Amino acid sequence: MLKVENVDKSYKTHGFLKQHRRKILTNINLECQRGECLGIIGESGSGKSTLGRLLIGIEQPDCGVITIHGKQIRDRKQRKGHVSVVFQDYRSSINPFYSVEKAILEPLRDYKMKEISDELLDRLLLQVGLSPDYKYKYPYELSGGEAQRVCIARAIATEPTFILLDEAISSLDVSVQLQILDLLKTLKSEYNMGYIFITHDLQAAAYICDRMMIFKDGQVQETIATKNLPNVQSSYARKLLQNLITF
Amino acid sequence: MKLLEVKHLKVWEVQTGNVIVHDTSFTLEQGQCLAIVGESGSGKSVTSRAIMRLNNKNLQQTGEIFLKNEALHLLSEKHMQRKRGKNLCMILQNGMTAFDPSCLIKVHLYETLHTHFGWSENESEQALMQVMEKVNLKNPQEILHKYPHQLSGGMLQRMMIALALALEPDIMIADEPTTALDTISQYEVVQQFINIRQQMNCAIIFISHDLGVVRKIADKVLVMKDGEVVEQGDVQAIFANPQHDYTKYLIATRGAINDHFKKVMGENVPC
Repeated sequence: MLKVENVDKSYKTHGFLKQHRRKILTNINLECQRGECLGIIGESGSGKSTLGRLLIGIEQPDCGVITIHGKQIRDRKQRKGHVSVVFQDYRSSINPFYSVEKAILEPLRDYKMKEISDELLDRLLLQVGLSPDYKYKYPYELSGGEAQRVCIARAIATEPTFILLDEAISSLDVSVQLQILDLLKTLKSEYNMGYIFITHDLQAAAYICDRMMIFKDGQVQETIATKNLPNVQSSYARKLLQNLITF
Repeated sequence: MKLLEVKHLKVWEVQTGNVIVHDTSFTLEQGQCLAIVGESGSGKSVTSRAIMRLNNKNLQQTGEIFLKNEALHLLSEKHMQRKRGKNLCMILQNGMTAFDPSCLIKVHLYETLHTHFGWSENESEQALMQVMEKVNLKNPQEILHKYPHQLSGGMLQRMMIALALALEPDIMIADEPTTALDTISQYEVVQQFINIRQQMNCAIIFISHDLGVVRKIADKVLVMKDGEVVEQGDVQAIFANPQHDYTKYLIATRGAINDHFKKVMGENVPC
């Protein structure tokens, strides 16, 4: 279980003479169970991605604690293999000098967790819907959807308990978005993982998430189960629903 | 009256001979909005840049382009430069990178207006005040004296539309203007486009992969796949009754996410 308690985060802004601190996150509390998908919805600049970086332990909060299965996430050894991440920009998140094979096996090699075998690699590629022949390709030979699948294969390689998806589908075409969303759904039930799904796209979030957290200016406006979405209370969430362009 | 006519446009890469856009023809009437839809890599942006003749040097094009019966493809680079901005205006996807980050917003805008109309700073400011109000930007003075990084993506996008309005072009080419924006700013920008269409007699070429937005704005739609136009016609007709398999596929995938959302929302679907 991933648990966030009373987390604050601020960054220094460098002025000429005096330094200010700009508050990004204020008093965040959330919980995510294994096998659950929690959506974090907010506009750009609302602090979603900062929260994401805190959740995977690559940055520390100013105060408050983030724990995974009761252990501090800031400790590298404790979080080893438990959390993975898929970023929005699939072009820059794979080392351009690595073949697909090397990219997917990178976390396994670093963690020395499992015996690395060809079968494992083939199985991972098949699971994300790519043919095993792809392992010899390089990132520039892949389309956006394929590159994002490789990123997902890399994320599930260590069999994590949680995956953070930071705008993972936002820069893909709508038709590819649907394929990736369906893939994520299947993988979730296969591995019994939890997802934290950060996005600004309410419709995609409604497709995959069980619960949604609506986020504005670094504060949680409302947390609501997806099936209760029509009954949102906060004014911001209402505005969000009204301004949605449906097809 | 035909405002823009593109005949047998073909764009290919010089080095490899790869054809990016195959034999594309379409027309645009006065005050009409034409949407070009397709997945990434289908040649939407290359087509729009070919009209402006702004493609990279390693892309060559043939075909005829007429703006008000004037042959754009025969103009010299110098004359073409005068058409850009004044007659054909482009709105880009990413407002953050479209403005010069090292100078104030106003510097860029005044320079553009000075080049095309020879206006002084005062005249430019007057004109910009008016159009910025039209696109719902409050405190125009303050915004003009800011740097691009101090404004949000939605504001910069509207700033770009404001500049386009001040130039009063015949055709506005908008290349994925809403893709990089979040829900609320997307809605605002789309509203601006609808307003522009009602208030001004300006034709728009709207490039997008978001069928929801296209349906709201456009009159005509052109579906592209791998550089070929697979279907074109009236928006409502195509969305209601797609002929080509690819169009059906695009509509079905977009519909799947949307239907789920509608099911969740029950009766309360807005719009």
